[in-house]
Amino acid sequence: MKKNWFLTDEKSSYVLGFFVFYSAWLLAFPFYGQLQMGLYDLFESSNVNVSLIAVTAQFLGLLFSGFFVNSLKRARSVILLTTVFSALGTIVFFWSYTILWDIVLIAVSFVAGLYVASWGYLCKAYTTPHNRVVVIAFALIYSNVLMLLINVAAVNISLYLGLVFAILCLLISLFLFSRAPLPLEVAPIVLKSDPKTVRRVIRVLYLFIMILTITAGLMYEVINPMFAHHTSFVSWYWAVPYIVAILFLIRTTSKVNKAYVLYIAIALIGFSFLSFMILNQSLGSYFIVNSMMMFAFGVCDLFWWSIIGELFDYVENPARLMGACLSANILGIMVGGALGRSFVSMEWIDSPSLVAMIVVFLVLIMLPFLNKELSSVIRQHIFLVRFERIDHSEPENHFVLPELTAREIEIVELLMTGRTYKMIAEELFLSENTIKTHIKNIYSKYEVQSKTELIKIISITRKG
Amino acid sequence: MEEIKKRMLFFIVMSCLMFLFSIMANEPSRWIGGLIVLVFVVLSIYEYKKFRLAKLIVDNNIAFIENICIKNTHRIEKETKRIGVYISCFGVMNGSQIIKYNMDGIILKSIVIDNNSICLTREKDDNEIILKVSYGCMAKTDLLDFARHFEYETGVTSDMRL
Repeated sequence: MKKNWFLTDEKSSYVLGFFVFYSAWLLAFPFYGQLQMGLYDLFESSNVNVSLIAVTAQFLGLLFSGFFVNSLKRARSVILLTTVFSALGTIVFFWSYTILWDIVLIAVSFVAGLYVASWGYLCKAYTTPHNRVVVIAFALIYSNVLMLLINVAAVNISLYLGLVFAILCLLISLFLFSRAPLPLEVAPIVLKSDPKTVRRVIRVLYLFIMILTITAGLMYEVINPMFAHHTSFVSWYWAVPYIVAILFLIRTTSKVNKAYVLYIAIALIGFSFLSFMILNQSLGSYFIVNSMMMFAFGVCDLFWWSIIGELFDYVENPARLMGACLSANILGIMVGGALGRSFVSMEWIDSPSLVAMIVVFLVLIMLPFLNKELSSVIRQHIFLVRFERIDHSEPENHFVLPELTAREIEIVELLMTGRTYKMIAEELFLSENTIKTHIKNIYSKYEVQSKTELIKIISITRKG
Repeated sequence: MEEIKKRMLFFIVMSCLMFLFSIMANEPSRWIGGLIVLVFVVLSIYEYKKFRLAKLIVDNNIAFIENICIKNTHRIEKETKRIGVYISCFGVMNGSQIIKYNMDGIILKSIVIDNNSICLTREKDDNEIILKVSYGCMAKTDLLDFARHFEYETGVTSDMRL
């Protein structure tokens, strides 16, 4: 497997790459982004209503995208146009606040919904069922890392620097999208299953996501504002537990039962709201509450995103599936957000935690039923099976000698004698750059990363 | 290669100019200028990488097939400019257009030499591209030398169909 930053094959890296940069902009800016809030605060204008309308617009974009994004070609066109539109729209925020800000924010949120749903099509085309979960996991990790960088720049240095980084992310996304190789047309449904059963499973999943993300809405409207005064710490720490959760899930061995991790995560959401009820608004309290909550959301996000990815092989239109399921996510946040705002306005301090407990209770009851429904379609639960496959990918014991060219053999012989690249270059009357390129090819053929590993492997094969 | 070098220098100069503009400008033009600087810096890096690749190809040139020769006899310093295709073990270069192989995961699958042209087939991620270079009036001995040298460097045996 070719090693690269995303630890997947090169084709998957492209689909991952452009999505990661776009998502970073989405999370930092239109979707309850700290950058957005900071800019509105700078001009002392309220963005509460606009944020709500923008999220609604994104919900509509996700929900309705599936009705006209029905081919790979169209999905690619939508991704290209939405990225360009988002970049142009974001530039408006360099100038002072006008009503144009609100209009643009709503418009880019809508197109962002179209983008994310369309990405489902490309995700299916560029990835295989075996690496899809890893691609999705890294999409969530890297987009949040980039979002944190934008937030840190915006909050601690300058909002406009954050805006520059956000636009840069969009431009990089556009660049990576333009470089992505054209995939084959999306394969028809690979795995046969009764369409009625698949639809039923999707409905149950929709309900599960919608109910669980009510707690996320409560987090955005109730918990986050309570700790907003710790601006510097919040700007970089907010998503760290989320990233850690996903990294933990993809790095741990199969000995860790991922289904139990999901139950623990849902319970953690409840504990975090309880802690919020008991603790004060100090930095330590934020650390405890946020760590539990965001760790739990990381686990849950990977769970349903990976389920959606698995279901791509059971539906004709991946964009419709992606749009529908993620719209459930947004709907839950909207409902939770509305509840949270009303509790805050009525000063019902403990009500958010009470609602969160009810949500957690409902979800814990639903989870076994959801697992059963998923198992009726998917042979084994993806949350367990896929990670087991990843974890047990041990290298084979036998080693086949790669075929080197005459020039490469010449270079390897000189390398084995301990000569440096410069010395080899002088001896063979070649440039150092040429030697380095040949060495890189040799490393690639032997699947090593350094001179030491190469010498070791050659010595072993020669003895053998 | 000269074109690539000129483009690279152009982008570097533009980056510097936009940087100066950004320092002197007021907000928000400063930030837009900064963004443009970043874009030019990225383009500079892209052209620099292309320049390095061009240099690699020229340094490891196995055959140079000239298709245009420009002789300027009117200037004080007479100059002859030769434009053609470089074929090396790492890629083919024609002007500023570079097609690389035998590096970065791009495999050179085969090479066919017939009476008119040299056909190279390269593959990347199951995607095959065939390059056909017309060599004009290359002598048979030169072609055989080319094939021998090419095999030495790339390990690919030429299919001679002369």
